[in-house]
Amino acid sequence: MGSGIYISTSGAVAQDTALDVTANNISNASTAGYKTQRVSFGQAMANTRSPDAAFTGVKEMKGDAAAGALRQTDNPLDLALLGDGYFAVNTPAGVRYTRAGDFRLDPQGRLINGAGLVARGVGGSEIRVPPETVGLSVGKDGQVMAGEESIGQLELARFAPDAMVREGDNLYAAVGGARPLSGAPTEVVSGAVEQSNVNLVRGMVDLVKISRTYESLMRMIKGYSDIESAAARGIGRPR
Amino acid sequence: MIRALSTAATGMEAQQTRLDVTANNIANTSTAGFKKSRAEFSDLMYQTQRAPGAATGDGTQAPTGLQVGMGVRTAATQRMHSQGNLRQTGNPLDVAIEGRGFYPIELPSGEVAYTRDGAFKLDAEGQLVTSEGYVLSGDISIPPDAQNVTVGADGTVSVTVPGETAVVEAGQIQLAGFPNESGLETIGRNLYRETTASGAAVVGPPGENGTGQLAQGTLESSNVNVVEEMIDLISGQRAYEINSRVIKAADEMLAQTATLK
Repeated sequence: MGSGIYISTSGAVAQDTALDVTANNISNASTAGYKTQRVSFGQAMANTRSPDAAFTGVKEMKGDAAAGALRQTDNPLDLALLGDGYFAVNTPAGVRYTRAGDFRLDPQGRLINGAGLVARGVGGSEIRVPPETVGLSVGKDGQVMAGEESIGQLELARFAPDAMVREGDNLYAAVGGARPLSGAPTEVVSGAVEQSNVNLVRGMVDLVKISRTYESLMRMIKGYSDIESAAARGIGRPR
Repeated sequence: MIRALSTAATGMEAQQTRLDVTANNIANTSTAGFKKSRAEFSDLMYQTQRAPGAATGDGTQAPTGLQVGMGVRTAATQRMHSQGNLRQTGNPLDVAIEGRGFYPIELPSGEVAYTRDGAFKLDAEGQLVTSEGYVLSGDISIPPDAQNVTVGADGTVSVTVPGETAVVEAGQIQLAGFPNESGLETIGRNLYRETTASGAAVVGPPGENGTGQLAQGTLESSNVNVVEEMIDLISGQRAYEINSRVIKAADEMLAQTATLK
């Protein structure tokens, strides 16, 4: 039996994964700070140099780092980042990073995000808004001001694009031992939220492409199956 | 494909929530002092098929990982306390707040609630009350024969009484400020309640503690921007539709697989 049917199957499995990723992109079209995931395919056994083993598979998934559109909200604790970089938050599992800057205050006066995680100050310091403060603002450099007085600076970090894994809840974790990059810090915009960078048109096109490719792969599998079946029935039959 | 089905379902659910929030905003476009809300979303957990940095087998490491996400969830709804437009009404008891702050209102239960709705009325005892008849906190009493009620920017209420040339001071309106206005709990009827998330109220004369000043003869409209809400409605509906297309595509692909044999 030829290997064509298996090659087609490997293609179908890869398209299946691509569909799952596209579904996740589309469902996160309204998630603040979400970055589109892109799938690329590659030969799975490139070293064999045999057409019989030209299996395909998902080779890479990369986050599209393009900035999402900023949506003006006029809420001083809605923070967006210009350029690459992340806000740092404390989680039970350690420091995590996020692009979603829709912060608010908790009863202790700390800045928390929608999931209740506390924003870190520079070097892991704690930013606490004094109880009798009316009027908070955040500067371009992440300085949190209560009236005229600075009460701390938000920790901002930049990472190499491949150094981050997604953890859900808009969080990214740095891969074992990856250190923040030094260099020009990211600029903070107060009163705006970075929207998801998912492009629904592109999502729709991906969807069409995936379902058509899948359909042709299914036809190929069917074709191979028909050939095998004809061979099984026809070959060796006395005339 | 099975995974894509449930992922797209979470997307539809999220857009539905967004639509619900938008509907409430639009419904309250003409509610004085109303503050719009928005839904906030976050992505669900990811299935890691290959971690970045994993060994590839020929002595190198995979530079990127393979992670498939499971969709979206609604993380929170947040109220936005930007200023609404001020509308001239000419009614001396319509008092808007320009800037931050809330009027403290005494509920019949003795509890204090807070509102931005400054459409006050007079009750039989000469107190300023809301449309529901709840009394504005503070010692304000307007004599029954008073004419020309004036509310200053600092909240001072003064009246003229027939037969007297001097202006009589009838009290001062106080405003409450909060460390975190978004943490206030909505209890309906334009009223908010203090919570641990909002922090304790700081009550003082208007213009102090970061609160705004008062503008007599004006009302604060809601801060709902109908155009913005319409755009939200359109993009929410489209996103909902495209999520449903994902379900359709996944279903068709499953059907093709099922008819292979």
